[in-house]
Amino acid sequence: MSGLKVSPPVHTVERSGSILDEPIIMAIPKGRLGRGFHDWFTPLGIQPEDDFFDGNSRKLLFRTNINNFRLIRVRSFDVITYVAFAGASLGVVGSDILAEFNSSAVFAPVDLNFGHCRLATAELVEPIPKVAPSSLNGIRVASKYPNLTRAHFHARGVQCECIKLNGAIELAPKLGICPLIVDLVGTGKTLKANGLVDVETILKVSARLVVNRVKFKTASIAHHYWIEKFREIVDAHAHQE
Amino acid sequence: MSHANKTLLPIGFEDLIAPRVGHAHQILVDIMATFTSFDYTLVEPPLLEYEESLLAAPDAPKSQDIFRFIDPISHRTIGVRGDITLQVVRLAKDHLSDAPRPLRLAYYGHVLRIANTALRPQRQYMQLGLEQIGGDAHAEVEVLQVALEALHCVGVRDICLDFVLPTLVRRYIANIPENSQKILAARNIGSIKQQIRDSELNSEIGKVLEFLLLLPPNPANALEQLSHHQAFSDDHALFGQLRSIMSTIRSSHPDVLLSLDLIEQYGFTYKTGIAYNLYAKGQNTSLGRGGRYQADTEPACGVSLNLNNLLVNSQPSPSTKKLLIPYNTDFKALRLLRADGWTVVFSDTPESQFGVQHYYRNGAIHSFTSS
Repeated sequence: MSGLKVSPPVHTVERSGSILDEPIIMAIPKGRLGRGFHDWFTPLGIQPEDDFFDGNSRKLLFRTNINNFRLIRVRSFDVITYVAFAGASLGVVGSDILAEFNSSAVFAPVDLNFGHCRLATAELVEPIPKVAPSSLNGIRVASKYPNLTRAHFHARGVQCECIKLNGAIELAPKLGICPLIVDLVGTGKTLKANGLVDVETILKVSARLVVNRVKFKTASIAHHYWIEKFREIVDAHAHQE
Repeated sequence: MSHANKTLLPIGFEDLIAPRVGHAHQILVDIMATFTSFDYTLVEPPLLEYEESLLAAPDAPKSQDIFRFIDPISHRTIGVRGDITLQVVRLAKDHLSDAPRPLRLAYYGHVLRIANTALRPQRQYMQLGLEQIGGDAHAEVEVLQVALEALHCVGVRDICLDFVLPTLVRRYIANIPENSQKILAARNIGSIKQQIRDSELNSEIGKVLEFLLLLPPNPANALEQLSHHQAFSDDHALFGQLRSIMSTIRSSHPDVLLSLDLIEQYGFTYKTGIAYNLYAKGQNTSLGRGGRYQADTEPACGVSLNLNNLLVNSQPSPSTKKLLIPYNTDFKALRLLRADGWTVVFSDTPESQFGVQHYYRNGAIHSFTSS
């Protein structure tokens, strides 16, 4: 049980019958960012069904206390895809993924101001001679972010060979796959545990509310209602701090 | 059905069969009929032009965006058109410079694009549209009303007309880093603020962009706030014009949802005034777009539609009534039957086939179901 309470304003809106007529599906990422978003449900007045919080549930689409407002839980990189194709019209995603996809079909109107971390390059504290580069050109870099990685090195006049991995990036230098990685750095603990040190920050990252471009325009009342709601909560938090 | 020996077509190209083709054809015919009923004259530029004329206009596609090849006769590079609007402007300049103004032109035809994305996989589509060249301040309302009327006639419902004022943001775009332009295009307020904090973005420009990004969704309220902002104190005539267009459209097409986007640049790079995108509720692709631009030396305004995207939201016309007729039927009788709206199917086998409900025998129409 989540024990979340339903805040009254949403019900007031629901009774008015106009705004929540638009069916909305919101994509929540799995993992750290998605768990961080659980704190938002109460202030938003959204109460997901119990299965949403049950890690063993096989469900992928979840009802909430609000009619026509449903949630999906997908991999963080897939949030953008679901929103771009209008499978979901709202989503929560890190600005790292937003920048990696650079999709014209997705808008990011609200900085949710949580899940702060950095996208950075990192290398071994003690380089392995056989993978140490003689020059940067043609350097191999492992990352989940091939586009951002290439753009970062290209801006420095360096052709890099990006190796796309989907996880455990920190392992790659230790096993001699590449001398450099580009990955998210939170506390830096994972880097340290794998003998890595971060070299340069590429991007400051935080969670963003994303909206499908066309839904933003064509179902604007419902979507702007939620965008406004998210902004109010962000502002209220900023004032508390 | 065997999947062996089927031809693989190039990516982004497809064979179209019934009922989709029939539906598409009907929409095309009905829309063009609406255009011509408002005295827009059909013009037909060719599928190919020399690359330099195809790419000459300032808002032309880039050479990497169109299919190109060497003409075996002239040995010059030829391009397949990626947009007919620009050809129509060229055609008007080459052949219709002496014709009375405003020049009202309509067109349709296939265009090819190189780009193939997951969201827009098709590389060939039918473009149809209308352009008014050398018109006055009524041009926007006129082309919009004609286009909305055409969409209404083919049963496209829940239309959203999204107005764009591309000239406002354009003043700032040239002076901000490319990265900021991308962030702006994604309406990414958080990152714009971040860039102002990190001094990557000029704070004066940044504040104006932030103001534009946070304007209320209601167009009337947004225009109200815009007209009080000192950065846009020279644009009151434009705002007044937009207000007047919106009020006319609201009364002529009250079921069309109006919105205002002040950030959009995509497809509007060289529009010189009010521009617009057309969407339909529940559909993830735009129906078409248009706006005011400069056609050589003359002001012009138009709308262009993508037929592929119209198919989704329009109602297919009711299925035709078909009549089975024997091969030896008198052709004069046939002519009368067809004039009565029957689609006639030749067959000497008197049984219901090809979706036929009726048959013709001894000068009378019989129903398969009742006999």
